[in-house]
Amino acid sequence: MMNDCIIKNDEKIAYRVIEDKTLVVNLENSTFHTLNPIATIIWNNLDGKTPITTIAKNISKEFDIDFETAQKDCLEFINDLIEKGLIILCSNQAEEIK
Amino acid sequence: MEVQSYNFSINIGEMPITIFFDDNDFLEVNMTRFSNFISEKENGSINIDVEYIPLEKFKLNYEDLESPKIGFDSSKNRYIIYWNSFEGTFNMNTMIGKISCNNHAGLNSFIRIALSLVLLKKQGFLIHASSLIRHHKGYLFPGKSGAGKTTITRLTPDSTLLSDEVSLIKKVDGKFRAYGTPFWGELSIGGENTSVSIDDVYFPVQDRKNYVNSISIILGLEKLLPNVIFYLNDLKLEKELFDLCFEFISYVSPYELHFLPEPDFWRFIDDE
Repeated sequence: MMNDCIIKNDEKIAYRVIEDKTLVVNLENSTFHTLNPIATIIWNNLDGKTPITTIAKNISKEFDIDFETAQKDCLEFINDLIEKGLIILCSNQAEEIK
Repeated sequence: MEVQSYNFSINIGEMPITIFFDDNDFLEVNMTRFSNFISEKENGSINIDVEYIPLEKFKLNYEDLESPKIGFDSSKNRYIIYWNSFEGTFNMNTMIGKISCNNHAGLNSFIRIALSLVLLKKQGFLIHASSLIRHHKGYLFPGKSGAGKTTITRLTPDSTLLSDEVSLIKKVDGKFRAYGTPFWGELSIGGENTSVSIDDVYFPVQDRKNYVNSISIILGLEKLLPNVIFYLNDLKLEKELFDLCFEFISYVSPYELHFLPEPDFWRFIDDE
Protein backbone atom coordinates (compact mmCIF):
# COMPACT_ATOMS: atom_id res chain seq x y z
CA MET A 1 0.00 0.00 0.00
CA MET A 2 2.80 2.36 0.80
CA ASN A 3 3.80 2.31 -2.86
CA ASP A 4 0.34 3.31 -4.04
CA CYS A 5 -0.32 6.80 -5.34
CA ILE A 6 -3.31 8.99 -4.63
CA ILE A 7 -5.20 11.49 -6.74
CA LYS A 8 -7.58 14.19 -5.66
CA ASN A 9 -11.21 13.47 -6.48
CA ASP A 10 -11.35 16.52 -8.73
CA GLU A 11 -14.79 15.74 -10.11
CA LYS A 12 -16.42 16.08 -6.73
CA ILE A 13 -14.32 18.60 -4.85
CA ALA A 14 -13.21 22.20 -4.94
CA TYR A 15 -10.26 23.37 -2.89
CA ARG A 16 -7.93 26.26 -2.26
CA VAL A 17 -4.49 26.19 -0.67
CA ILE A 18 -4.03 29.48 1.17
CA GLU A 19 -0.64 30.03 2.76
CA ASP A 20 -0.05 26.87 4.79
CA LYS A 21 -3.67 25.69 5.07
CA THR A 22 -6.20 24.20 2.68
CA LEU A 23 -9.96 24.36 2.49
CA VAL A 24 -11.50 21.38 0.71
CA VAL A 25 -15.19 21.28 -0.12
CA ASN A 26 -16.96 18.08 -1.03
CA LEU A 27 -19.48 19.48 -3.50
CA GLU A 28 -21.65 16.38 -3.38
CA ASN A 29 -22.57 16.81 0.26
CA SER A 30 -21.45 20.41 0.90
CA THR A 31 -19.04 19.45 3.66
CA PHE A 32 -15.98 21.55 4.44
CA HIS A 33 -12.58 20.33 5.56
CA THR A 34 -9.79 22.64 6.67
CA LEU A 35 -6.36 21.03 6.48
CA ASN A 36 -3.56 22.10 8.82
CA PRO A 37 0.00 22.79 7.56
CA ILE A 38 1.17 19.14 7.74
CA ALA A 39 -2.04 17.90 6.10
CA THR A 40 -1.59 20.58 3.43
CA ILE A 41 1.88 19.26 2.56
CA ILE A 42 0.43 15.77 2.21
CA TRP A 43 -2.46 17.19 0.17
CA ASN A 44 -0.07 18.99 -2.18
CA ASN A 45 1.73 15.71 -2.81
CA LEU A 46 -1.42 13.82 -3.80
CA ASP A 47 -0.61 14.16 -7.47
CA GLY A 48 -1.13 10.61 -8.69
CA LYS A 49 2.63 10.15 -9.05
CA THR A 50 4.13 10.39 -5.59
CA PRO A 51 3.92 7.16 -3.56
CA ILE A 52 2.68 7.39 0.01
CA THR A 53 6.06 6.24 1.25
CA THR A 54 7.76 9.22 -0.41
CA ILE A 55 5.21 11.60 1.11
CA ALA A 56 5.91 10.09 4.55
CA LYS A 57 9.67 10.52 4.04
CA ASN A 58 9.17 14.16 3.07
CA ILE A 59 7.03 14.79 6.17
CA SER A 60 9.57 13.02 8.36
CA LYS A 61 12.36 15.24 7.01
CA GLU A 62 10.39 18.50 6.95
CA PHE A 63 9.05 18.24 10.51
CA ASP A 64 11.92 16.27 12.04
CA ILE A 65 9.80 13.32 13.15
CA ASP A 66 10.66 9.66 12.84
CA PHE A 67 9.60 7.91 9.66
CA GLU A 68 7.31 5.39 11.39
CA THR A 69 5.27 8.16 13.01
CA ALA A 70 5.11 10.12 9.75
CA GLN A 71 4.01 7.00 7.90
CA LYS A 72 1.31 6.21 10.48
CA ASP A 73 0.01 9.80 10.39
CA CYS A 74 0.03 9.83 6.59
CA LEU A 75 -1.94 6.61 6.38
CA GLU A 76 -4.51 7.75 8.93
CA PHE A 77 -4.98 11.03 7.13
CA ILE A 78 -5.21 9.45 3.69
CA ASN A 79 -7.65 6.83 4.96
CA ASP A 80 -9.80 9.61 6.38
CA LEU A 81 -9.77 11.50 3.07
CA ILE A 82 -10.72 8.37 1.15
CA GLU A 83 -13.64 7.77 3.52
CA LYS A 84 -14.76 11.35 2.96
CA GLY A 85 -14.59 10.89 -0.80
CA LEU A 86 -12.00 13.61 -1.29
CA ILE A 87 -9.27 11.44 -2.82
CA ILE A 88 -8.93 8.21 -4.79
CA LEU A 89 -6.31 5.47 -4.57
CA CYS A 90 -4.49 4.99 -7.90
CA SER A 91 -4.36 1.27 -7.33
CA ASN A 92 -6.15 -1.63 -8.91
CA GLN A 93 -6.73 -2.79 -5.37
CA ALA A 94 -8.37 0.33 -3.97
CA GLU A 95 -9.15 -1.28 -0.69
CA GLU A 96 -9.01 0.36 2.68
CA ILE A 97 -5.46 1.11 3.76
CA LYS A 98 -4.53 -0.93 6.75
CA MET B 1 -60.51 32.81 -25.10
CA GLU B 2 -57.70 35.33 -24.90
CA VAL B 3 -56.12 35.65 -21.47
CA GLN B 4 -55.51 39.21 -20.45
CA SER B 5 -51.97 39.95 -19.34
CA TYR B 6 -50.77 42.60 -16.93
CA ASN B 7 -47.14 43.30 -16.28
CA PHE B 8 -44.59 45.42 -14.52
CA SER B 9 -40.80 45.48 -14.52
CA ILE B 10 -38.34 45.44 -11.68
CA ASN B 11 -34.61 45.83 -11.60
CA ILE B 12 -32.54 43.83 -9.11
CA GLY B 13 -28.76 44.08 -9.21
CA GLU B 14 -28.91 45.87 -12.56
CA MET B 15 -30.87 42.97 -14.03
CA PRO B 16 -34.23 44.00 -15.46
CA ILE B 17 -37.02 41.50 -14.92
CA THR B 18 -40.45 41.83 -16.47
CA ILE B 19 -43.22 39.90 -14.77
CA PHE B 20 -46.45 39.11 -16.59
CA PHE B 21 -49.59 38.24 -14.65
CA ASP B 22 -52.92 36.78 -15.68
CA ASP B 23 -54.54 38.28 -12.58
CA ASN B 24 -54.50 42.02 -11.91
CA ASP B 25 -55.11 41.67 -8.16
CA PHE B 26 -52.12 39.40 -7.84
CA LEU B 27 -50.07 41.90 -9.86
CA GLU B 28 -50.97 44.64 -7.42
CA VAL B 29 -49.97 42.54 -4.40
CA ASN B 30 -46.58 41.93 -5.96
CA MET B 31 -46.12 45.52 -7.14
CA THR B 32 -46.46 46.61 -3.53
CA ARG B 33 -43.94 44.06 -2.31
CA PHE B 34 -41.42 44.95 -5.03
CA SER B 35 -42.18 48.69 -4.89
CA ASN B 36 -38.58 49.83 -4.29
CA PHE B 37 -37.44 47.92 -7.35
CA ILE B 38 -40.07 48.94 -9.91
CA SER B 39 -38.36 49.95 -13.12
CA GLU B 40 -39.57 52.16 -15.94
CA LYS B 41 -37.95 49.89 -18.49
CA GLU B 42 -40.54 47.52 -19.90
CA ASN B 43 -38.38 44.93 -21.61
CA GLY B 44 -36.67 42.77 -19.04
CA SER B 45 -33.66 40.65 -19.82
CA ILE B 46 -35.52 38.08 -17.74
CA ASN B 47 -39.23 37.54 -18.42
CA ILE B 48 -41.48 35.65 -16.08
CA ASP B 49 -45.05 34.55 -16.80
CA VAL B 50 -47.07 34.12 -13.64
CA GLU B 51 -50.19 31.99 -13.61
CA TYR B 52 -52.23 32.71 -10.54
CA ILE B 53 -53.93 29.64 -9.15
CA PRO B 54 -56.39 30.27 -6.30
CA LEU B 55 -55.55 28.42 -3.14
CA GLU B 56 -58.64 26.20 -3.31
CA LYS B 57 -57.59 25.00 -6.77
CA PHE B 58 -53.94 24.66 -5.93
CA LYS B 59 -53.21 20.96 -5.71
CA LEU B 60 -49.46 21.03 -5.27
CA ASN B 61 -48.17 20.41 -1.81
CA TYR B 62 -44.44 20.53 -1.45
CA GLU B 63 -44.39 22.18 1.92
CA ASP B 64 -42.21 19.50 3.42
CA LEU B 65 -39.29 20.42 1.19
CA GLU B 66 -36.44 22.20 2.96
CA SER B 67 -34.98 23.32 -0.34
CA PRO B 68 -36.33 23.57 -3.86
CA LYS B 69 -36.21 20.66 -6.24
CA ILE B 70 -34.57 21.54 -9.52
CA GLY B 71 -34.42 19.21 -12.49
CA PHE B 72 -33.35 19.79 -16.07
CA ASP B 73 -35.62 19.09 -19.02
CA SER B 74 -33.09 18.67 -21.84
CA SER B 75 -35.78 18.36 -24.53
CA LYS B 76 -36.90 21.92 -23.80
CA ASN B 77 -33.59 23.15 -22.45
CA ARG B 78 -35.09 24.44 -19.23
CA TYR B 79 -34.93 23.90 -15.52
CA ILE B 80 -38.01 22.57 -13.78
CA ILE B 81 -38.30 24.03 -10.32
CA TYR B 82 -40.75 23.36 -7.53
CA TRP B 83 -40.84 24.27 -3.91
CA ASN B 84 -43.45 24.96 -1.24
CA SER B 85 -46.52 26.35 -3.04
CA PHE B 86 -45.11 26.95 -6.51
CA GLU B 87 -43.84 25.18 -9.55
CA GLY B 88 -42.20 26.64 -12.59
CA THR B 89 -39.66 26.41 -15.36
CA PHE B 90 -36.73 28.58 -16.32
CA ASN B 91 -34.87 28.58 -19.62
CA MET B 92 -31.35 29.97 -19.28
CA ASN B 93 -31.02 30.60 -23.03
CA THR B 94 -34.23 32.53 -23.57
CA MET B 95 -34.27 33.79 -19.96
CA ILE B 96 -37.97 33.03 -19.86
CA GLY B 97 -39.54 31.70 -16.70
CA LYS B 98 -43.02 30.35 -16.10
CA ILE B 99 -44.51 29.85 -12.69
CA SER B 100 -47.81 28.74 -11.16
CA CYS B 101 -48.40 30.01 -7.68
CA ASN B 102 -50.90 31.75 -5.44
CA ASN B 103 -48.85 33.94 -3.15
CA HIS B 104 -46.02 36.43 -3.22
CA ALA B 105 -43.67 34.08 -1.36
CA GLY B 106 -43.80 31.59 -4.24
CA LEU B 107 -42.94 34.21 -6.85
CA ASN B 108 -40.29 35.68 -4.57
CA SER B 109 -38.61 32.28 -4.16
CA PHE B 110 -38.79 31.60 -7.88
CA ILE B 111 -37.10 34.92 -8.69
CA ARG B 112 -34.38 34.20 -6.13
CA ILE B 113 -33.69 30.81 -7.70
CA ALA B 114 -33.66 32.22 -11.24
CA LEU B 115 -31.37 35.05 -10.15
CA SER B 116 -28.96 32.64 -8.46
CA LEU B 117 -28.59 30.84 -11.80
CA VAL B 118 -28.29 33.97 -13.95
CA LEU B 119 -26.01 35.84 -11.56
CA LEU B 120 -23.23 33.27 -11.72
CA LYS B 121 -22.80 34.03 -15.41
CA LYS B 122 -22.44 37.68 -14.47
CA GLN B 123 -19.87 37.08 -11.73
CA GLY B 124 -22.40 37.41 -8.96
CA PHE B 125 -24.21 35.48 -6.28
CA LEU B 126 -26.95 35.76 -3.67
CA ILE B 127 -26.07 35.28 -0.04
CA HIS B 128 -27.87 35.01 3.27
CA ALA B 129 -26.57 38.29 4.61
CA SER B 130 -27.77 41.65 5.72
CA SER B 131 -26.12 44.57 4.01
CA LEU B 132 -26.28 48.31 4.42
CA ILE B 133 -24.60 51.59 3.61
CA ARG B 134 -23.44 53.64 6.56
CA HIS B 135 -21.49 56.86 6.22
CA HIS B 136 -21.02 56.11 2.50
CA LYS B 137 -19.40 52.74 3.24
CA GLY B 138 -20.80 49.29 2.48
CA TYR B 139 -21.08 46.52 5.07
CA LEU B 140 -22.03 42.87 4.63
CA PHE B 141 -23.06 40.61 7.53
CA PRO B 142 -23.49 37.00 6.34
CA GLY B 143 -25.22 34.48 8.56
CA LYS B 144 -27.99 31.93 8.79
CA SER B 145 -31.27 32.52 10.61
CA GLY B 146 -30.67 33.66 14.16
CA ALA B 147 -27.15 34.94 13.53
CA GLY B 148 -28.22 38.52 14.07
CA LYS B 149 -28.58 39.87 10.54
CA THR B 150 -31.85 41.68 11.19
CA THR B 151 -30.75 42.78 14.67
CA ILE B 152 -27.75 44.54 13.16
CA THR B 153 -29.89 46.42 10.67
CA ARG B 154 -32.38 47.39 13.41
CA LEU B 155 -29.54 48.77 15.48
CA THR B 156 -28.29 50.89 12.58
CA PRO B 157 -31.00 53.44 11.85
CA ASP B 158 -28.55 55.95 10.35
CA SER B 159 -28.02 53.76 7.31
CA THR B 160 -29.38 52.81 3.89
CA LEU B 161 -30.73 49.28 4.02
CA LEU B 162 -29.80 46.97 1.15
CA SER B 163 -31.34 43.87 2.74
CA ASP B 164 -31.79 42.32 6.16
CA GLU B 165 -31.93 38.80 4.72
CA VAL B 166 -30.59 38.16 1.19
CA SER B 167 -27.91 40.33 -0.35
CA LEU B 168 -26.73 40.37 -3.92
CA ILE B 169 -22.98 40.52 -4.58
CA LYS B 170 -21.59 41.17 -8.03
CA LYS B 171 -18.13 41.79 -9.42
CA VAL B 172 -18.16 45.01 -11.43
CA ASP B 173 -15.03 46.42 -13.05
CA GLY B 174 -12.82 44.26 -10.86
CA LYS B 175 -14.50 45.32 -7.63
CA PHE B 176 -17.22 43.64 -5.61
CA ARG B 177 -20.45 45.51 -4.97
CA ALA B 178 -23.48 44.74 -2.81
CA TYR B 179 -26.88 45.54 -4.32
CA GLY B 180 -30.15 46.08 -2.58
CA THR B 181 -32.76 43.35 -2.92
CA PRO B 182 -36.49 43.09 -2.23
CA PHE B 183 -35.86 39.85 -0.31
CA TRP B 184 -36.50 40.62 3.31
CA GLY B 185 -36.37 38.79 6.62
CA GLU B 186 -37.83 39.66 10.01
CA LEU B 187 -37.59 43.37 9.27
CA SER B 188 -40.33 42.99 6.61
CA ILE B 189 -38.91 45.94 4.71
CA GLY B 190 -37.32 45.65 1.28
CA GLY B 191 -33.93 47.18 0.68
CA GLU B 192 -33.21 50.27 -1.34
CA ASN B 193 -32.45 49.81 -5.02
CA THR B 194 -28.87 51.04 -4.85
CA SER B 195 -25.42 49.54 -4.55
CA VAL B 196 -22.14 50.05 -2.77
CA SER B 197 -18.59 48.76 -2.93
CA ILE B 198 -17.90 46.14 -0.27
CA ASP B 199 -14.47 46.21 1.34
CA ASP B 200 -15.14 44.51 4.67
CA VAL B 201 -17.28 41.50 5.59
CA TYR B 202 -18.36 40.93 9.19
CA PHE B 203 -19.60 37.51 10.28
CA PRO B 204 -21.91 38.17 13.26
CA VAL B 205 -21.42 36.20 16.47
CA GLN B 206 -23.82 37.01 19.32
CA ASP B 207 -21.69 37.34 22.42
CA ARG B 208 -21.54 38.90 25.89
CA LYS B 209 -19.26 41.72 24.80
CA ASN B 210 -18.53 43.67 21.67
CA TYR B 211 -15.33 43.13 19.75
CA VAL B 212 -14.08 42.61 16.23
CA ASN B 213 -11.36 40.25 15.19
CA SER B 214 -9.75 39.77 11.84
CA ILE B 215 -9.98 36.23 10.47
CA SER B 216 -8.00 34.38 7.84
CA ILE B 217 -9.11 34.09 4.25
CA ILE B 218 -9.54 30.35 4.72
CA LEU B 219 -11.80 30.79 7.76
CA GLY B 220 -13.63 33.57 5.95
CA LEU B 221 -14.26 31.28 3.00
CA GLU B 222 -15.42 28.49 5.33
CA LYS B 223 -17.86 30.91 6.97
CA LEU B 224 -19.00 32.47 3.70
CA LEU B 225 -19.79 29.37 1.65
CA PRO B 226 -22.67 27.91 3.74
CA ASN B 227 -24.49 31.23 3.37
CA VAL B 228 -24.21 31.43 -0.41
CA ILE B 229 -27.52 30.65 -2.11
CA PHE B 230 -27.28 28.13 -4.90
CA TYR B 231 -29.70 25.25 -5.13
CA LEU B 232 -28.64 23.56 -8.34
CA ASN B 233 -26.69 20.30 -8.12
CA ASP B 234 -24.25 20.97 -10.92
CA LEU B 235 -20.61 20.31 -10.04
CA LYS B 236 -19.23 22.52 -12.82
CA LEU B 237 -21.31 25.52 -11.77
CA GLU B 238 -20.66 24.84 -8.09
CA LYS B 239 -16.91 24.98 -8.79
CA GLU B 240 -17.36 28.27 -10.63
CA LEU B 241 -19.23 29.61 -7.64
CA PHE B 242 -16.54 28.34 -5.25
CA ASP B 243 -13.88 30.17 -7.30
CA LEU B 244 -15.94 33.36 -7.32
CA CYS B 245 -16.46 33.17 -3.55
CA PHE B 246 -12.73 32.66 -3.04
CA GLU B 247 -12.07 35.71 -5.20
CA PHE B 248 -14.59 37.70 -3.17
CA ILE B 249 -13.27 36.75 0.26
CA SER B 250 -9.70 37.39 -0.91
CA TYR B 251 -10.77 40.83 -2.15
CA VAL B 252 -12.47 41.93 1.08
CA SER B 253 -11.19 41.93 4.63
CA PRO B 254 -13.09 39.27 6.62
CA TYR B 255 -13.85 39.78 10.32
CA GLU B 256 -15.87 38.18 13.08
CA LEU B 257 -18.15 40.68 14.76
CA HIS B 258 -18.85 39.60 18.34
CA PHE B 259 -21.70 41.75 19.50
CA LEU B 260 -24.34 42.54 22.06
CA PRO B 261 -27.75 43.72 20.79
CA GLU B 262 -26.89 47.39 21.25
CA PRO B 263 -25.64 50.00 18.76
CA ASP B 264 -22.31 50.33 20.54
CA PHE B 265 -20.88 47.49 18.44
CA TRP B 266 -20.38 50.02 15.64
CA ARG B 267 -17.64 51.69 17.66
CA PHE B 268 -15.59 48.50 17.34
CA ILE B 269 -16.21 48.27 13.61
CA ASP B 270 -15.30 51.93 13.16
CA ASP B 271 -12.02 51.33 14.99
CA GLU B 272 -10.94 48.72 12.44
